[in-house]
Amino acid sequence: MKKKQFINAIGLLILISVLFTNCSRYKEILNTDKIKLIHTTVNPSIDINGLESFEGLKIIFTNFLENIKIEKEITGTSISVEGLIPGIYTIVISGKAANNEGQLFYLNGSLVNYPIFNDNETIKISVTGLRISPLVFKEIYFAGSPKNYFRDQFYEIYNNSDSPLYLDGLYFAALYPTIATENLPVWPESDGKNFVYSDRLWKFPGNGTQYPLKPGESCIVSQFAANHQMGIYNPSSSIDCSSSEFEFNMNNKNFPDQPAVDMVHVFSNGSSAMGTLPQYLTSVFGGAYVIFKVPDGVIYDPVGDKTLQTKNLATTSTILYAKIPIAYVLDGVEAGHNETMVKAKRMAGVLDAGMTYVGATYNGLGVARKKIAENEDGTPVLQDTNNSTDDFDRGVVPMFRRYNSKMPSWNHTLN
Amino acid sequence: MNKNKQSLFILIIAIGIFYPFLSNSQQIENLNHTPAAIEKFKLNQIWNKTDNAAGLSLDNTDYYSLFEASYNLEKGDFKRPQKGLKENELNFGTEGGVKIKNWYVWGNFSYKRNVIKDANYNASIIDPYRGMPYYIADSNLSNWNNQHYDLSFKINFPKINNKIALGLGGDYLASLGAKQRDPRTENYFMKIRLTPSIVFSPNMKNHFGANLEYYNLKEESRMENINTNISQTYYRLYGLGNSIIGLGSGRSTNYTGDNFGGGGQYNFTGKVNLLLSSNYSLKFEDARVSFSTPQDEGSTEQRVWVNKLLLHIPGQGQSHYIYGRYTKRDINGIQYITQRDNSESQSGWITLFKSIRSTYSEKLYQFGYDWTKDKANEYSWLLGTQLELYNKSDIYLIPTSYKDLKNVFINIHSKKNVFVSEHLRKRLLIDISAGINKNIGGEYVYNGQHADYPIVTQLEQGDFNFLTTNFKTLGISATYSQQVKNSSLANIFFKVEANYSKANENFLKYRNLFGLSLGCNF
Repeated sequence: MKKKQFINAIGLLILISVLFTNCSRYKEILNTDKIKLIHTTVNPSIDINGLESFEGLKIIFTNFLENIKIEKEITGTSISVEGLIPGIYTIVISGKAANNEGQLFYLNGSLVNYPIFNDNETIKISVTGLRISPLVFKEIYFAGSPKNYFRDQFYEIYNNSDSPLYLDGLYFAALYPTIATENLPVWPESDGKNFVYSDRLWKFPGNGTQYPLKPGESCIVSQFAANHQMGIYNPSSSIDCSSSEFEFNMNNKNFPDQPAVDMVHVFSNGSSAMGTLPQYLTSVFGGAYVIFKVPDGVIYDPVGDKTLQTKNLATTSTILYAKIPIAYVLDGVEAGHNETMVKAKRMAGVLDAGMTYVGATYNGLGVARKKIAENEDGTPVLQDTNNSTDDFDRGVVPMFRRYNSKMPSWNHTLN
Repeated sequence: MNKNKQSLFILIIAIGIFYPFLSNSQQIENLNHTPAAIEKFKLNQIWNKTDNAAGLSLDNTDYYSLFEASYNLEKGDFKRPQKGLKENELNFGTEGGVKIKNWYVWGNFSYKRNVIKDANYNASIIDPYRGMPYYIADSNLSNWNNQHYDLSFKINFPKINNKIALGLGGDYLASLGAKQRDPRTENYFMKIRLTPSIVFSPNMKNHFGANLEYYNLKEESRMENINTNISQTYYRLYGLGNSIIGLGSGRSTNYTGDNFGGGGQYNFTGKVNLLLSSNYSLKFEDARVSFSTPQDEGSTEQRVWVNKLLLHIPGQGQSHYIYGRYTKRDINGIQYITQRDNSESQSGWITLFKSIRSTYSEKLYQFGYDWTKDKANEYSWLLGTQLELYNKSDIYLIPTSYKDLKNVFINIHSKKNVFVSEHLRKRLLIDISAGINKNIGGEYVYNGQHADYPIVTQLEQGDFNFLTTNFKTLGISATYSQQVKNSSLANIFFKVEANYSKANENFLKYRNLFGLSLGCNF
């Protein structure tokens, strides 16, 4: 009898504890208030000598989940924004400002995926001089074609400056995680915000002056530089990649080496070996791509230098990733499933404060950087505000050298 | 529920259902169990229409038992968007009530297999109309295969001092649902409900009742793509057309909820049998994404208030049944702002903020009157009418969107119980009903993001169109029944029924239903 009473008492205690546990949850729900619009103030800060006024700079609050975009001009040392719906915002400050001596600066500062839900909150944003890259991603085709065909992916890189540049020795990488996710890896705290990470690095070949890219010229790097519209590949493909300058050749005899120059494989899981993958496929949902240049005199060897390698500390996986110093990055573009995936950004806001997308996989569509002006020779001047949401046209039928950009003279089809 | 408790639960119900089969049906010779007699028997049961099992002893507690198998086929485009263009249903149900000494036990079991064909805008929840706004929708027409198991019981315990009666009611509902096209889902729903009750009878005419209600529900939804090469577009719904587009295979969602309620009843028994009943309940339900690393998606706080008036006026060879009901349901939809903790502590999803983003309100007024011309324990005629006033008012607070509508529905019905022959008590029960629904106002205004999404233009607007459409409905059924043999109460029946609803709109046309049933009353 005592045993039965004991069991009943335990049962009662469990029941009460379960009820009380849930009661606290229900109390939370009962105490939930109706949503109210909130007010916030942004205080930009800057460390450029003689620049004290932010007048003329533009501030944009973007809540990608709620599809809210609030754009204002800063008229003093701070700016107040009324009527915000509480949520996760990306805040970008950009524009030109002159210092006391009349010197003009292109400025940029951002907070990516910043939660704003407290009324009357003051937010500080550090504004720096905008890094304007001479080389930019001009067009990216990652989604693949109908019938689940992904070998026609390509990346077009454009000289958006007024000086010739050399591609030789530049690096290309798609960052890790390869697909946009809010479940991000954990990288070493000691790295701070100084690096981005990739599972595989490629390098442009050349002796230093072998592959020049003049102003208004672009080069195409294809996953597989063939005419994909041929019957043996995929007639539904949007693109013929046979005139690409470079390809990521993974020595797959079913998709043999093409006339395009092979990119040099640099790093995969701590080694320079390519491994056994049949192709270099980046996510058809959209990756986060960077091109970067190692400063002259600096040795960058992520295979030999273990300090340039790391594991994902969130898992027990032993896969090694290469560290890419953010300071080396010339251009970065992040692509994802759709607009709502901006909440799952992998790339630092200083490289790309936004995200571009085509909204589906295998739809034969890509993204292309917007043209904002034209050079005297008819080549385009492309938009680069470090925000691919704004800088790219989305869902375009892919094409090489859009807007009359030129083919470099060393392209194999010209020789 | 652990296995022992579940077994006990099923045992109690099984006793209720099957005891009459095991007992000697010759004990009561002045009864018959024709379909009209069972219907009349249930019309007279006034406490059985409440959640108070303690009051069952005040009803007629003659034993009865029945089972029924039926097949229904429904089709037509006059439907809510998430219903199927065509649906078929296979039902098997059994029910029984029995008095064992001073105990009365009632039990019910039903199994329903429901095939919904070409349904739209639901990819993650078995019943999209159950008051949970947070689920996944897609725009691929798809079939759903659902199965529902429902076990219920009511126990009326022996009276204490002839003044106090105690009762206990319970339900166990389990549903399985599977969407058949990518993005597809496999869902498991469970609800277990208990309603302890008490009735105090200070004298023979006045009875006061009270009951408590608790239920727990859980639904698991696991979405996936079978064709993993093709990512599907889907929408995470937040109410009134607000949604977030997604691409891939969807998500896993875990719905858990608890409901707490209580009610009071007053019954006067004399020349008339009057029952007033009022129940109030408060339900909390959470929708969380992922089972391994839960993320708060949304919660609902639902309040339901149900008031009833039931009046039975027996007369010389006739009876009057008056019925009134007022139901009010209010739901607050709570949304969360969450962020994944990607630091080394890896504490999963952190909820940063929550607020009520949407409210849903429904009011339903129902009035009914039935008259029967009685013959023994059956009726020869039943004539009745029902009037309903429905009012819905849903609001998404910021940015403000709303959906308001008011409908009036009136129905008249008549049943003729033809006494074909007293030999084997052969009966033909013919039922004809007609109804008209009139919309008396409504508006759906959407001011949220992406007004071009099909969630706004097809799902919400389509649902609004359906709910505000004037329509006429006509139903007819015929039930033939006879006893198995003269010395037995067992009464087999065969029923055929048809229903036709015609919408007064060009874009919605009709919906019809055809049904066949076969069963036996014991």
